[in-house]
Amino acid sequence: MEIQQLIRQRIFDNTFTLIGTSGEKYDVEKFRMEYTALRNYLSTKVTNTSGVGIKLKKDPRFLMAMLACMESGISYVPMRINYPESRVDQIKQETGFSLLLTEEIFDEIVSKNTIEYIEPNHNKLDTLYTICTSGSTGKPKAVIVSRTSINDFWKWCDDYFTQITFKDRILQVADFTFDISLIDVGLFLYKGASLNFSKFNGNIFTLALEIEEKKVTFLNTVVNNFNMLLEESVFSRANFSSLKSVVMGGARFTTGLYNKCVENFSNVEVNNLYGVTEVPVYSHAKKMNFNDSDINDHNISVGKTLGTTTAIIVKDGKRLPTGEKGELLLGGGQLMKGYANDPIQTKEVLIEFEGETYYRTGDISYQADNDEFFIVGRMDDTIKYRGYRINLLDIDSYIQTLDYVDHAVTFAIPNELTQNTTICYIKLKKDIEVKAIKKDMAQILLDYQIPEKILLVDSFPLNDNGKICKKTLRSYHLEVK
Amino acid sequence: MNDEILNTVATILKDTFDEQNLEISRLTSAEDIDEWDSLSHIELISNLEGQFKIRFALGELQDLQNVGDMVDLIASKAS
Repeated sequence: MEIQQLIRQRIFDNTFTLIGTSGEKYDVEKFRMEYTALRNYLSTKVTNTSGVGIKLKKDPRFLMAMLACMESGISYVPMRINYPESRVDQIKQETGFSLLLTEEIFDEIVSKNTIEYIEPNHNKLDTLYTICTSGSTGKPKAVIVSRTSINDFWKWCDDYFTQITFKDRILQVADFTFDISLIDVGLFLYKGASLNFSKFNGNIFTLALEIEEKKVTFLNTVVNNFNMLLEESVFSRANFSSLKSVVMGGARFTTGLYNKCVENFSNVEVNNLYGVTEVPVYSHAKKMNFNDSDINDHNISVGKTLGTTTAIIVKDGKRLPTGEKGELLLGGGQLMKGYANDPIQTKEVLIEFEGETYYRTGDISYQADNDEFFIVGRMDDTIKYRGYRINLLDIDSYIQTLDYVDHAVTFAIPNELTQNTTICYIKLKKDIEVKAIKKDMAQILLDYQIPEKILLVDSFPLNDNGKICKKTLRSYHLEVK
Repeated sequence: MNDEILNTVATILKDTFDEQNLEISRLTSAEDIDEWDSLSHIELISNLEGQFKIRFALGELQDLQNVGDMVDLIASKAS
C-alpha cells in the first residue's frame, strides 16, 4: 500500500488511538478535522520543492504534521521544540524549507482552514523527509530520504511484526528527529496499534513507570535505555509483564545486555536491529532465539537484511566471501537520495560497485554461514598501535566477556611515540581493582590489545538519543591531560 | 530533621558523583551537575535507599525534580 493511501485509510476509514504525554486521549474527530485543515493548507500554500520544518512538542500534533506532509507530497524536516534558533537557521540553510511549523503557526492554520478535502495542486515529491544528524564537523548532515525508502520499510514492518495488532499499546519513546520513531509510526498506520507518547526525559524510572502503568506491549528504543531498564534497581521495582515485543537498536547490542535479556526477558520477543540513517530506518533484523545461534565469537547477530535492502562485505575493492571481515556496504530500495547541499560528501559515501549503488557504512562486518551478519567494529575504530592493527570495538567485545564488566568503551588518543595511546573506560558490576582487571585481560587479549590506561566509571555520558557519547569521553581525557 | 537529611543527601551526592566540592542546596538538580545523568541517577537512588534504609516505589521516583524533593520524600518515608 502506498504511503498516501495508508495514511488516509488509518485516519479516515479506520479508528485509532493516540494518547498524549499527560495521558489524555486525542479525540479522533478533532484529529481528523485538524489534520484535513493542515493537509489542505500544505497541499495548496506550500510548494513541493521547498518543504516544511516541523518544530513542535513531541505529541500527537507532531505526528499529525508529519502525516499531513507525507500525504500532501511535501517533504518535511523534523526538529525538536528546544532547538536553539542558530540550529534551526543552520538546518534551514542546509535543507531550504520555506515554512517553519511552530505551535503558534500550527494553531493558526488548523483554526482558519476549510475542513473539506482539497486535491493537492502539485505532484507528490519523491522526497519524504530530510533528517539532520549532528555531523562530525558541527555542520548538520542532512540526509534526504525518498518515499520509496519508507514505503519499503513500512511494508517490511507489516510483514515482520506479525503478532502486533490494533490491541497493542506502543510507547512512543524516540523523538521524531530520530528515525527509529518511524517503526512506531509504521505499526500505528499498518496495524492500528495505539501510540502512547512518552514523557521520558532521561529519568529511567519515569520510563519504567510508563511501561507499567500504560501496560505497554511494544517498546522500541535504544540499547542504552534497555540496559538501564534491566539494571537490578530499576527492573526489581517495576512490572514489565505487559511487554510482548521489544526492538533494540541505535547502538551495539552487547553481551552484557544479551545476558540481562536471557535472565529477564525470556517471555518477550527481543529484536536486535541494525541500521544507519542513510539507509532508513534499519537494514538488518534479528529475532533473538536465546541460544548459541545468536552469538558468534562474542558478537551478537544483527540478522539478515530486511525489506528491499541488499548488503555486501568488501575489502580493497573486492567482494569478500562468507566469514571474512570487511566494510559493510548497503544498497537497495531504502538507500537515501544523498546529503542535502553536499554533493561532495554524497559522492564519498554513495559508491558504484558491480553496477549497483551502495552506501559505505564504515562498519566492519562479516556474514556467517547462515547468512546472518555480525558487526565487529568501525573502520575508524581500527587503529595502528605499536605497529599492529587493532580494532577497538573488538577489544570491547572481549573485555565485556569478563563477568564483572558491565560495559567497556576503548578509544585511542594519538601520540608521537606509539602512534596511539589506548584508553579503556569500564563500568563494573562489582568492585575489582584495575590491576586484577589487567591480569584477566591478559588471558583473553594479546599484549598489544590490552589498553594502556584503564579508567573505572560509574556511568557513561550519553548523547540526546541515549547513545554513549565517545566524543565526551575523549574530551574528558584530553582535558585531564 | 530535614536539614539533617539534606546534609546526608549532600554527602551521598558528592560520593556518588565523586566530586567533593559540589555545593548542594534544596534547589540543586541534574541540570547543575554534569556527572548527574541517567545512569548515575540510578546509582544515586540505590545509595540513598542504602543509607536511609528505605525503599522508594517506582511512582515516587518520577517526580523528583531536585534535591529538595528527595529530602521531602525521604523525610515522609522516615516519619
